[in-house]
Order: sequence, then C-alpha cells, then structure tokens
Amino acid sequence: MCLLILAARAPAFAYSGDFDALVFDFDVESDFPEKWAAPALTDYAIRAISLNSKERAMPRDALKRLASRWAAAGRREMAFETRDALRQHTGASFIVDGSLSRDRSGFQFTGSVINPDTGLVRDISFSLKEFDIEAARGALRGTLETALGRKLPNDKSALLGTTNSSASAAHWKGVWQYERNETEKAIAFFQQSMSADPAFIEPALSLARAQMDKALFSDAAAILRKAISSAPKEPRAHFLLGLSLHFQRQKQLSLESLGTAANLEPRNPEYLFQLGVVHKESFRYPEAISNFEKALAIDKSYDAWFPLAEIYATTKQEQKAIHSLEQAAVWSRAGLLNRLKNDADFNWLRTNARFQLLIKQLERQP
Amino acid sequence: MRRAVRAITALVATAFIAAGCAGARRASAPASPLPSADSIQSEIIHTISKRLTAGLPDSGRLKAARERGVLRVAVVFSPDNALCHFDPDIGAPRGFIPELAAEIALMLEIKPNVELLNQGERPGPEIDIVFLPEGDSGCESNNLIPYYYTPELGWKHICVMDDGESLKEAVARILSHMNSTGIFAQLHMAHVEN
Repeated sequence: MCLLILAARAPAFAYSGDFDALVFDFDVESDFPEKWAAPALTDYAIRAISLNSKERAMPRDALKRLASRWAAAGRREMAFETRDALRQHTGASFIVDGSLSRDRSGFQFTGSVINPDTGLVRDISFSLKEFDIEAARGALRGTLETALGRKLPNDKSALLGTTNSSASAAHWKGVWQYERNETEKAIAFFQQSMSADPAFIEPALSLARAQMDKALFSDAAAILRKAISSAPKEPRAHFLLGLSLHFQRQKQLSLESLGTAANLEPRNPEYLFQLGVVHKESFRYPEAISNFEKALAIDKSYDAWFPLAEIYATTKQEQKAIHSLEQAAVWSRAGLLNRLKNDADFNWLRTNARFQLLIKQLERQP
Repeated sequence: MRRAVRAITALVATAFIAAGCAGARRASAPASPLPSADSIQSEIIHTISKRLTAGLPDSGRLKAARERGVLRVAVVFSPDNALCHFDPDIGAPRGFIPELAAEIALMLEIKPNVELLNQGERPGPEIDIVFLPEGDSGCESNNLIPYYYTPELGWKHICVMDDGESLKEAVARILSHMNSTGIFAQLHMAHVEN
C-alpha cells in the first residue's frame, strides 16, 4: 500500500539538487561562551564536505534562506521532520547537525550524520579540555571523515579563505553579531578581520552586506569593487555589487554585475531571481520571465511565482497568470490573499473561476 | 540533555525508515504563510524599511496599506511626459513619478497601484497618496510634502490622504532616504535629464 502511494507521489523534487548534504547550523548551549564558533564550525563542515567532492553541501546562507520559506521552520528548535522535508526538497542524501556545549570536563561537540533513505544514523562527537577553534576544526574534520568513510581535505586556505587564524576568528565573531542584529559590533569585527588579512574576501562581503542594511550603498559598492579587483571570479562579490547598484537604481550597471555573477555561478537561483527582478523593473518582460523561470527550474519554492504572475497579468496572459498565482499560493506567502484581493493589476482576472477558487482556498487556510 | 534530544532525533529518523516510507520524497509546500525572507534583496529592504518606519504608530492609512499589501497612488496628469505618461505597451503609467511611487511602496514593503487623474479630477476615498501638479490646492496644507522643485514652477507636492500622521511621516522619511542615498537623483537623471 505504501509503495503504491510512493509511486503516485514520486518523483517530485522541487529542487533540482546540486547538493547532496544539508549541514544545519550547529546549536550552541547558552553556557558556552564562544558562541561565534557555532557558525564558524558549521561553515567549516560545509566547506570540508564540499571541497574536491561530488558530495557538496548547501552553503549555510542558502539553507537558512530556504528554511525561512518553510512554515514549520519558524520555531527555534527545528523538528527533524522539517529538516528532512528540506532535505527531500533539495534532493539531498543526508543531514549533518550538531551542538556545542560546555561542562566540567570541557568543550563538547555532539552531532549526527543522518541518511533517512538508507536508515544510516552516525553519531559524531568529540570533546576538548579547552576550547580552541583550530583544534575544534581538526577534531570535527576527523569525526566527519569517520562518519562519511572518506578523507576530507585539509587545505586551510581553501577551507577558511585565509591562513590567518585571527582574521578568520574576527570574521566569524562578526557573523555571529550580524545575525543577532548587532550590526555595529559586526562591522567592527569585519573591519578587524580585513585589517588582519586584507586578501581575505569573506569579511569584505560581510561588511558590504552590513553597509547595505544601513542603506550605505555607495560605501558597499566601493568595498565590493575593491574585492572584485583582487578576486574577479568571486560571484558573490559581483552579485552584491549588482544588488547595491540596483538599490541605487543604476539598472544597466546592476544588470551587468548580476549577469557576471550568474555567468560565474549559473545554478544559483538567487542570482537568476535578482536578474529577473531588475529586468522586470526595467519593463524587459521576456528577459524577466526567462530569468524567473530559470530560478524556479532550480528551486520551485523561490518567490518568483508572484512577480511572474504580475507580468502575465500586466500583459493579459490569463492562463499563465492564474497558473503562476496558484503556484505562489502553493508556496504560500504572507499577505498573498490580501494582495490578490486588493491589487488592481489582477482586477481583470476577478471573473475567472480559477482565480475565484484560489481566493476561496486561501481564505480557508488558517 | 542535549544527548537525549539527539538520541530522540536519531530515533525519529529510524522510525521514518522502519515505516517503509523512507524513500518518499515530498515536494510538500509550507502549510501556512511565512514572514517574507525570500531573497537577499527582501532581507535588506525589510531591514531598511524597519528603520525608516521605526517608532511610527501602526495606524491609519499606513496600517491599512500594509494590510492590503498595496499602496494606492494617484498622479494628476502632467503635460510633462518625462514625469509621467501612460505606456500603452505595458498598460500602466511610467516615468519619474511612478518610479518615485514604486520606491515609496517598496520601502513600505508593499506594491504600488498607480492611477492617472485628469487635471481637476479629485481622487477617490480609497487613494492613499496623490502626486499633485504645481499650485494645486486640493489638499489640506498639513498633509502636503514638497518633493520636487523647479525655479520656473516652484514646488510639486505629495498629498498624503491620512487620518493620522503615520503615513505622512513614513513618506517624508522615505523621500529623505532617497535623497541621502542618491536614488532620487538617479531616477531624475534617468527619466527627466535624459
């Protein structure tokens, strides 16, 4: 019976699956003082799994953003079912998670590598008498090697982006502050990291992002142009530059930078989505549609459905507009019902039976 | 305690497999609406919007516009094509003023609906803000925000049809943000100077 249900439901990957592993942000116990180590070690695990390997792990920022589109992921402690739903959505094989704590014996890391499809659950753990990030990284790599049954790379520069330990530590302290909305403290750490290693690109990207939050777009663009001059093939720098130019409404320059980012990393849905946004705002609808569709071909949960619906509604393509709205409702967005009820762009669709049904369905949702 | 939680997690994983449905890959969608955080762009807009509207009472037209997800904007028709014109290809108004309206709505994290009014035509009660031509006196003076000046014609104003101060203050702050970031100058250059 179960097999019959499966046959009817599979395959239904919503994400075309460039990643085999999802490494969820390691939890950190409140009594553990070096909280910044949690994102630092999570990122290290992702890079260790991904470097020179087919079993690539989804970057933590991309996974966080994907999780933010998942209703059940809103809770502080994400349930295993939610983590597994995200894994299935991406088509990944396994999940890595863990937590950092401290007790009388010292620093503890406990985690697991889980492949729910095969039933493989491997505990990973290690402890250190005193916390030291370098020692923790080494121990983590060792436990992951045992759990995954293969050697992981140990190229410090490639895994951290710098050989300077204090630059790396300052950067991750900044990330920890930034993610807690302590932007000024974060900026100070990013600047400290850049001073320790001017060639380290991560703090430059993080600093630019923090400046954009403060609407200091010109400052962000200057930081990013400098970063690009030293790392011209870094897609994230081109993307953030494109975004800062877009915020300044320099649309043509923005498109050039976003296009470079998308050429360097053609399967990043964020870059394709953003290209779609800028084309749409420039009224280049065919280009906007093409980029939104490419983003959705990689990840159907992306909120490109609603802007697609807006374009189809504006250009009076009824069936496509309705289909896009139905998909937008599947990946239900906050405020979608009110928008559908109030947005004059959809007025001409109000007599359409599918549009009316969609409104009714949304009204019935809790 | 942490170890106990992890052990439960592992048990749940094992239970999935034991149930014989481990291979069921769902493309299941979220069951209920989420706070918006789809993209880096929306995250940044959210941060800026929160700062721009910090401390404003969530009331009046600001609250209503946010709840409906749409800012209703009227633009009194101007003979100056660069400022605003109707584009038959896209079936919507285009130009400097519609872009300003879009920017204001964006910073409120909502969408603009822009409609054109003929000279002398008054906006309906559903309209939130009106871009007035020079010298138009069809708005209470305490609801006016000056936004565009030419030596020949003087100031153009936005009339905020508010029953409180929230929306007016929000619009004024957003205009100030657009000046300080160069967005206003960029839009002017793109639509008026060019």
